[in-house]
Amino acid sequence: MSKKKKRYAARLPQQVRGGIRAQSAGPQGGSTRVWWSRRWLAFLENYRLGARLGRGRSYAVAGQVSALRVEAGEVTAAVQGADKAPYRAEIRFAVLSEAAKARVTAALRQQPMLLARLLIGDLPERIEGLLQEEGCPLFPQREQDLSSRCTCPDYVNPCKHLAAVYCLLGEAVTTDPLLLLALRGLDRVTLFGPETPGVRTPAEKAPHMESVPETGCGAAEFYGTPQAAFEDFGPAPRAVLPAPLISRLGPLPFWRGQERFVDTLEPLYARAASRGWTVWSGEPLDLRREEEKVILRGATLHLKQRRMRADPLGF
Amino acid sequence: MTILHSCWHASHLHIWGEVEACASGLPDGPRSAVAVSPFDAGAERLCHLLRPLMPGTGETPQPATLELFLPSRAWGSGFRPVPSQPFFNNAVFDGAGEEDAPDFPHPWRVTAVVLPWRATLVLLGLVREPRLADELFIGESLLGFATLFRFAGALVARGRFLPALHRTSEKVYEARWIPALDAADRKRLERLAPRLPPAAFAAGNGSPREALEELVDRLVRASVVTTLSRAHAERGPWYSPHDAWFAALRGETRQVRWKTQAELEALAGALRQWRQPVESGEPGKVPRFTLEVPDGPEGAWFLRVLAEEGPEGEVPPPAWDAAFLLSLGQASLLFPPLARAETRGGKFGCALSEEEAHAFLTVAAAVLEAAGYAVNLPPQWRPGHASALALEADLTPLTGEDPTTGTLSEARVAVTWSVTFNGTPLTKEEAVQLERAETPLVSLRGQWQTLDLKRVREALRAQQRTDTVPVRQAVRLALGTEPGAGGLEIARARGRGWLDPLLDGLAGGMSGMESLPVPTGFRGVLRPYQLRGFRWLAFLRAWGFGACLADDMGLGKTVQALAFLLHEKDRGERRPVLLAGPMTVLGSWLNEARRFAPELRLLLHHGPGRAKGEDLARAAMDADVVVTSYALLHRDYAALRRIGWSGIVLDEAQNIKNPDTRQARAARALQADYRIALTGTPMENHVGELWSVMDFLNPGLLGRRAVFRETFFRPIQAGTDPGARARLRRVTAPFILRRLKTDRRVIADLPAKIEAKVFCPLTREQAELYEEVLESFRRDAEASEGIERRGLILAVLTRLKQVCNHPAHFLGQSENLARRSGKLERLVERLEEVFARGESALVFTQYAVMGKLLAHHLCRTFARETPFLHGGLTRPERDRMIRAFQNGTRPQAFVLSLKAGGTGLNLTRANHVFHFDRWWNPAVENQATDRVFRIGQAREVMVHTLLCNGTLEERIDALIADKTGLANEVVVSGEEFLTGLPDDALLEVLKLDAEVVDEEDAAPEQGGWGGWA
Repeated sequence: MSKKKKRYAARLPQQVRGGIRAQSAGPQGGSTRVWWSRRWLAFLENYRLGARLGRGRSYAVAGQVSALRVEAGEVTAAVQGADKAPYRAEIRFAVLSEAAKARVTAALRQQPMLLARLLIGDLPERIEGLLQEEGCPLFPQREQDLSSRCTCPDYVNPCKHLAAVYCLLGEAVTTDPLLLLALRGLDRVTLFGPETPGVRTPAEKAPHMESVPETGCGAAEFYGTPQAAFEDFGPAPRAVLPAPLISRLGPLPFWRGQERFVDTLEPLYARAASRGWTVWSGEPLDLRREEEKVILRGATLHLKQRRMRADPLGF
Repeated sequence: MTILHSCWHASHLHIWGEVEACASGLPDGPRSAVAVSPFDAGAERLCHLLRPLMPGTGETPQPATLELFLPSRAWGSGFRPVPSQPFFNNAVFDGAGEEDAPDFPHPWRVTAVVLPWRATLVLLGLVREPRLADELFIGESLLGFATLFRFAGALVARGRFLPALHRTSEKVYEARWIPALDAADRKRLERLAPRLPPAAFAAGNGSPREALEELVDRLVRASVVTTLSRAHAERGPWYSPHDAWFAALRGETRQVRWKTQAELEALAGALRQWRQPVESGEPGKVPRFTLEVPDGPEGAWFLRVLAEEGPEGEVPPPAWDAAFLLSLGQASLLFPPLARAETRGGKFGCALSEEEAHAFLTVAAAVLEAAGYAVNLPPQWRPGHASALALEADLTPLTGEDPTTGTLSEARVAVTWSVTFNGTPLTKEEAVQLERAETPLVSLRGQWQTLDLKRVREALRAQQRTDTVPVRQAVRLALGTEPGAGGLEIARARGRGWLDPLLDGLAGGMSGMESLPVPTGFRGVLRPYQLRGFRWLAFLRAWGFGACLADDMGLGKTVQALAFLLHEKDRGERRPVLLAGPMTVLGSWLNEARRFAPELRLLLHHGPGRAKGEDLARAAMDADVVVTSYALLHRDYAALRRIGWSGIVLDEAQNIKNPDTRQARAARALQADYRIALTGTPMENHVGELWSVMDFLNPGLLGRRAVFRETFFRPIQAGTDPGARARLRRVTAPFILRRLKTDRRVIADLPAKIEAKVFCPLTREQAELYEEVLESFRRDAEASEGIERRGLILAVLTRLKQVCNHPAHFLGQSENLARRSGKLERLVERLEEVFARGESALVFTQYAVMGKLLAHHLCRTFARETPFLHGGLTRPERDRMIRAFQNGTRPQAFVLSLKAGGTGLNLTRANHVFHFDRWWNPAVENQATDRVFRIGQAREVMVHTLLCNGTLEERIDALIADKTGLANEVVVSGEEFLTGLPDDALLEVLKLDAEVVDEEDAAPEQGGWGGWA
């Protein structure tokens, strides 16, 4: 391979599939759906990035960022550039003082709905005011609000790798504005206290029965005796939403799949629900797949046409 | 005979079978190594039994060996497993003398099969009762899993499941659909878990929860996997772990194929986090919403937020709890006004405008409930609460004359409407208020209502005018199967003119028919309730409606129908009626018709020599009633449909309960002026069956099948809508007449003891044996005299009676009893009805051999213990048997030999007595009947005497009934009197003159899930 070719190849970033891909390739490189992402963009555009903003956006859209981690006041990312190993990019933000954190947290807890809205990806504007009062604006405004570095050979800072991270961050805060607060030191633990552990799913617990049944278990007890039918299977579904739990939880954050999350799941839920009804009401279960039914459907149609009805009163 | 048990092992449902002990006796139990259970069904038998579940898929069950700790008992010098059912293998421990030894667990090996999952799900959907098919029973463990599967179905139907990613071993990650149980569902699972006996988890691992998770995943997977998605899950390409996981959710295998384990671990964590608000479901972590109605004209609607299960009046306790707040935030996405929620006056929540309150009541409340939140609404908005605003319809016929003579379908009816609120008409002011209402939320007489204003206004406008509808629609309006003006529910309908008696009659008054006389040709007396039943049939027929006479067994449905058929003939009907029933009852019809309605000309259409095509049509025109079997209804459909029937009568109409069977389709397709169904089985408990019978009787009344399924079948079967059953009853009640023997108000004159003769046909095998016996007797009798002749006659009597009982009885066999004896089939049919009513029966026979066969067959048919009391038992054995029967809780049959059980016993738990064969001595038979008819018998007693059509049994019975001198002789000397008859008179009694059941003709199609094996 010639030297020239090698140099040319080296300038192209290594291709990555399955990286975090910016989902919206709009002119701004991020969604402008919500007010805070518009503000984030405004900050980016004022940040002396020039042409590197465009390059960074291309990186973000191509999925060159393979890992992104946000902690209190700190962002670390792995960005796939021309080198085989990804570069490590870091951004540090100025954080609130402990006393200021306490004041903001107390103010938020007075109004639970503000926190509730934060948790579902909404950012009430009142929160920006609260932080502004503490002298730590939600969006970086001055040089000392943040510092950044990248392991790439590029001497300019911010480089295109950092620009890609900024772009992705912009998109991330669109769906999770809590990140914005985390960048200022107000992470989940500070706001909500230590995470209460969720109920572990029993499959993980893997409960095991005693391997030897207790002694004295008679045949009637062991095999069971006839009982009245069990009938309480819960209330009827109300046909208002195809996938109520999915509607409630929304898409998985940082979704990287090629198919859209909610749109793909909803028809699956509808199909499963109709089978569920069949089982619930005790009708015979036909588990042939659609393609296996085609032949049968023809036969049924034929029968239907032949079927006649006697109808004395014309009901 | 096999009992299927199941056992959860290694995330799969293992099915194993228990059979009777082999004839050669059992080897003594092992001492050291784990031995194969002596009752193990083996792989071959299991695969054979389960193959029908996997038609054409090419899949085969996988045999596996399980080591289970089964309850065992000492036996000889070793052990032996205890049979799972007391009736099963009872011979094994008989006389072992170790009845009281405690059972203890001992390891045994059994052969189990693992079916492909689709087949497993089909099987679980299929089993509802302990008996699945002939000689095939379902153990409680498998029934328990079937119940668990229904719960899985309910969860899936309600959308209570979520996608997940589980790490199942060191490097394997699996995409799963897992149930999302809230507090109520967890409680349901707790209540359901005891349905799974220890046998269900005897392999040592698994739990109800784990099994439920597996079943939910398999059910969802079976629904969402397509050929495309399956291929994608196997081959990709996937560009991220998310893609690989998403594909595996829709694949046949669940493993997620992705190279980087760390990324999968991260995804699993992200998914757990994502699901957490739904899964945690702890008290105090899920918000609950209560809508508060404004307390005055100035008040506002207020949606209050509380912590679920928190004490009333408390603000969400840990207001900053992330799980609670997240759930609250998610709720605000489903109902945006919640975003304004704040603490006001000690209450946390948000004030709603009228529009918002209306949106909440009509949509958002249901959405929030579906998403798993508890929502508390004022009573008038709770599901199932009838609308306070309804209609009253006034129906006036436009044709003056009573159109029963045939122009009914052309008659028209004028309808006037009035809108009522809680039963009283709206005042003018209230109507004006509704006309002017701007929002659909209206306070009427101090009660808030959500109204569909468009519909209400339409109904209000309809008050000013008169609608004209065909009479059939008027009837539907009156029955409530069709909504009224503006789609409002009709609370009451009043008929004028001739419609009044029609509607009144449908409501049970039967006006216009009160004085209909019994047809002159009817020989016999109709009891008052039978007279009423006859008039009811005539009433519905006059209006062209189908009728289902569903009287209790023994109340004489046949005579009521015969009186009705005579009445039709008297009215001048010349066209024939088609009467179809199971083969076993056709003989009864011929007999009863001869007895009660000799004027009726009956044509039996049956057997290989039956008329075909044009011949049948000609023959039918000369008959009043053509009697045929269900099987022929379908087979001879082409010929039957060309005959102009005046009516179709189905006896034992439960035979068309499955609408997809051939006989049901044929019955519905045949044209006739009226239809009648007779059945003794209560149908109202089986919603699906009711549709089939009602659609035969009154096509279209209950709507199309798919519509019926959504409005009635599913809500009733799933138990989700308590009002659905009542609505269904309201629609069907006018067409079903069911009187119970216990209902003394209706049936005041019923004797405490009802006697019924049950005529049974012979099978072809029986008929051939009968002829053979008779033939050899003819030869021998000619050459004999005196004592020898007498002995010959007594011997042939015994042989013929044995043949009538069962070929196996005559031939000395003990296996393969099903479908060989008309009597035994009829007995089983009748016992099914008895057991369905929760009652017990005694079955008497004079032959110990037959008694043994009966006990054997009945216990295997009904999967319940069937004791047999005979002379060979010791006193303590008899006493124990009787005690066990008297103290039993399940309906049961008790077989007794007439000699041993005829006297001195008290068996009042039974209120049915069957005489399987005859002693010809009423005194002896009455004595036997008195076993149940004693002090302590609270219910009326029914005596069923089984007789074979066209045989000596029928003729001797007729002789006794004749009340001539001969009868007295019979009563005095029993069968002996026959020995004194001259040859030709004797042969006249013994000869065979009967229609015969052809095996292939005899069995109507069971259809679908009933008769798969």
